[in-house]
Amino acid sequence: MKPKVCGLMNIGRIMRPIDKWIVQHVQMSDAETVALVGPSDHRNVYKELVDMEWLSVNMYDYDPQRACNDIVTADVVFDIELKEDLIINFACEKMWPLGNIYKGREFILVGDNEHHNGDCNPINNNKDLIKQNELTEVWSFNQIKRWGNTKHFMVYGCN
Amino acid sequence: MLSDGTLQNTEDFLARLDPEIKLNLFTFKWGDKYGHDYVNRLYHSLKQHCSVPFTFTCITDNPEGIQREIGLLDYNQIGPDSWRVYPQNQIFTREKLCLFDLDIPGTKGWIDLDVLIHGDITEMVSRDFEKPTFILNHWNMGNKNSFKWFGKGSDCHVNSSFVFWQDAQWLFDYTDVNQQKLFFTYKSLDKYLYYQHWRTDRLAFWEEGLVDNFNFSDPPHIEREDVKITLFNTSHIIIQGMDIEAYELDETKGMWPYEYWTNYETN
Repeated sequence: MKPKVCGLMNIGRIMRPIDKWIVQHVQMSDAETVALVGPSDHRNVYKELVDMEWLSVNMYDYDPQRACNDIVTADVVFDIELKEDLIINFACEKMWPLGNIYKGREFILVGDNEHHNGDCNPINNNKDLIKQNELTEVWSFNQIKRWGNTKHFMVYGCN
Repeated sequence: MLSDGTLQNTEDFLARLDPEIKLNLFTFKWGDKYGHDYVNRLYHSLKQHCSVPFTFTCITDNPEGIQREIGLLDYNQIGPDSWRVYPQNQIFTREKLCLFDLDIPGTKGWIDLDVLIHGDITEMVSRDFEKPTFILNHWNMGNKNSFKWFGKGSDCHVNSSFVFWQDAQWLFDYTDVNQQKLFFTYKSLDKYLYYQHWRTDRLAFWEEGLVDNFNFSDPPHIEREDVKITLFNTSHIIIQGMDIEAYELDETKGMWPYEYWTNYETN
């Protein structure tokens, strides 16, 4: 069936570089609880993480069209308070920096420089992510080419 | 009461309100996009199509040419100082929300200048408004891709051009408390309302068929039966570089809206 909204595709267990990078870093973390924010078409990451028996994993997405049993339909900036030890944000370019709200947590932060008209917070480099989320320690970072001249920027650290 | 042609501050405006009048209407005019003729014509369209006694006040930075029957409130002092710090491209037209914070009796409404009222709105404005009532863009919600980009943040099916309420203090308070995050996140008022308050069912909307959009309905540019209010918003067409034949009210010469509009007096 053709998906009615973007972000509902399931491409099985084929891991894209960005997903692989995230999963590798979660394995390095001491976190017992993980929040996946705005996973869109990165649901493979969820599938990988729920297989890790020591982890409790929750997904959050504000789009009611993406609602399903394993996702909490909520805006994590305005509606609810995240409790998880590790917050993985797949859509930093679309929201207020979560590190500005949540302190003493681990973060895996992903953002892009597409400058889409729905982006309030385009991410132009890893420093943007570190600074705006007030990370005090950065353990790893990366950037991955997307289409055109756009890139995903990725940082793992804590505040 | 006739205006003396000078801009009032909010305190004086509230003090002079006639408590016997239970319908207080507003419009906003700042900058030079629209002339005073838009304000005057809107007022006369309301006189023609609303049989409930009402006041009409223009919140403006320039009272020149606005008729004396229309109240004048100073645009530059309305709302909290902290909101004025944010650039205009962050929750553009946030000034409208400041009206929710004013202690005005009865029913309140604001109407944008790029709106043509061409049917009787007495029933619409005489309702009990449990929630603030906005326009839902029914004309583009039936498309198969209408909600496709919700998650990307580029959808918007709420329009704030014709809004009525009785008590919506909560909406001002919510905005004020969350101002830093909200102004950062949303470029326009409509998008803010859509993503925060339509999504959570906090708003009410006019029923389909009462409000139409001259430029966006399919087919566009025709007069539809039973429609009372037609929108002529074009700013997002320009901003997004959309390839759409769109008109402001004063550009509709030779088409049906122009006759209505120019028949409303300007002085």
